[in-house]
Amino acid sequence: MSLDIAEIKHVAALSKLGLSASELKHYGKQLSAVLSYIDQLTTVDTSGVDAKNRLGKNYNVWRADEAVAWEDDGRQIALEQAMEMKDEQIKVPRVLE
Amino acid sequence: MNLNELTIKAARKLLDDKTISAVQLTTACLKRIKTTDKTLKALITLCEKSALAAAHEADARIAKGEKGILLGIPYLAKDNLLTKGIKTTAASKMLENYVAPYNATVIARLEAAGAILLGKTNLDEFAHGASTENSAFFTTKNPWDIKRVPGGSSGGSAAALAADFCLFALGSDTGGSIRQPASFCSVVGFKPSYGRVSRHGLMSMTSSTDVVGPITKNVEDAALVLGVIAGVDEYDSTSSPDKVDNYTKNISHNLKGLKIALPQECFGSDLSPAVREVMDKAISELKKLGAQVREISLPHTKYSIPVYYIITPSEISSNLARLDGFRYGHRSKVKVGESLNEIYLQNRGEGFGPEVKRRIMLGTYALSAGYFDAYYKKAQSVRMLISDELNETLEKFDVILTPTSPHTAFKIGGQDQDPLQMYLEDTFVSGPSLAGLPAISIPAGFIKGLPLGLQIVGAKRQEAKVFQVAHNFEQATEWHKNKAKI
Repeated sequence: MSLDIAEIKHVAALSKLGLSASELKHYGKQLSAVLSYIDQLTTVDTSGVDAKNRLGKNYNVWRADEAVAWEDDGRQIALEQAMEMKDEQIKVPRVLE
Repeated sequence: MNLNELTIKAARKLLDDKTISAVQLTTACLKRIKTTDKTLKALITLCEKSALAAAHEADARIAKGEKGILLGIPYLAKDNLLTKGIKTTAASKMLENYVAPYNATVIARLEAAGAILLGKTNLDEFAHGASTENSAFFTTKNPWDIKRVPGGSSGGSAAALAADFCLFALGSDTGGSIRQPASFCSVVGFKPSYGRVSRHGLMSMTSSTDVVGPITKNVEDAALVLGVIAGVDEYDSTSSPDKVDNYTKNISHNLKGLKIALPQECFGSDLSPAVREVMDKAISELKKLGAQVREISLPHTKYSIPVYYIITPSEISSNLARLDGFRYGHRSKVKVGESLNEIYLQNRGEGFGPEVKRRIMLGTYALSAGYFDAYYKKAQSVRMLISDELNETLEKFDVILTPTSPHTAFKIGGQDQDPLQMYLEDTFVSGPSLAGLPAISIPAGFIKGLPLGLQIVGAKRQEAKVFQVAHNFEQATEWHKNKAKI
């Protein structure tokens, strides 16, 4: 499998990664090599495997949906990670357009 | 002997006898770190002040008569484990200044047990790699040869332990990240069954295989640490509610009649003669100890790497989406445009290193429309075949034996330009991860002065059996007593 420049651009966009033209070329080449290696999986007979059902075999774990108060020092550290604060709240650039 | 060179068990006795104090033990470790880490570069953060405070507290608890296997024992933790009030970077520029607001469950359990956190160790960025060369900050050196890598991704923890910076270290293992560096540094590295240890507060990489485990100076110490950190956790719904075994109870039971499987695919013609020689000697030793060893076939094991490099990047592409410069991570100072999309692209393009970018793109591609069935679904199906094969073998045999790594530690810069070559490092270790099985790497010999480990894989939740085989081998061979001269 080889990724052309349009495909790698598309993947980078879906990945939300801003890449330079040389990075796109570089990663495109490396990812093509990795995908070619991975393509050996097509030779494996998986006709008898129902992966979806097998993965769903786990059981659910439930707990009451109750809010638990966070201790003040932990809350303070979390708030300190924000780049901008206003009135004890985290301020971010506008996300709704 | 310097105090920092002690095993947990030996230190425990001296602490309980009041021959030494936790402060003395901690001071010895801090001194060793300060003199040697300039060369080794195993630590990202040193917590001297809080470690000494914790040591004083441990001494007070001991003085009051409190007992506990890890009370007053100093350790290091991989820097992808959240530590409250302490920088937790995942060796990424994305989280260069991130301070965790809460402790990972394993850290909280160790704190309650009185263990002393000395600092945080280097890793490949977000644990993506097998050498620590993908760390955004620096590469850790192998204490056996500082021109070589310590392995990865828990390379900082393995190198630090091998150099006696601490009495034990924590790593995380997604596809070999505890076992491969343990092999390269001649220490014991244990990957528990998936779900045996809580993942809460371990930065998510591949949520379906990630597990936290101990790196120690001998097998018994690994069993002792696991006993403290294992067990169900309400904050991790994938943690197992099964009772935690007493992992040291039967550790010395002899191996008479024990059945060991050797997968012929791991001992093929491409295995180097030097590695084969180490393994042959190890197998003879196990036979001498009474084990029955038989060659078997695991025909799908050769697909472990291609499967792993679809599943892992797929989960990474999803788990690392939160690192967008808003919820978590680096916010670019470059004003690129007004749209949210442009800001995301800039933050993530600047913040992530090359291997993280490759994995995010590989996973995004595998999960994208038109390719999902061909890659992700196919890989999950083959994963089932690999898993079935291992589980069926472990119904007939007690354990499976392989080399941990196809070779000893490679040179720094030796293969960092070829991602595929680096992925092949995980050849023997990714299968047990995909199947969620417990596995250990223990010192098994040396090739031209560099250590090599052997891997013992057990059936799900049979960690006690893995420890028993490993302990018997260790006590008969004493490879673990060799120390790096650094």
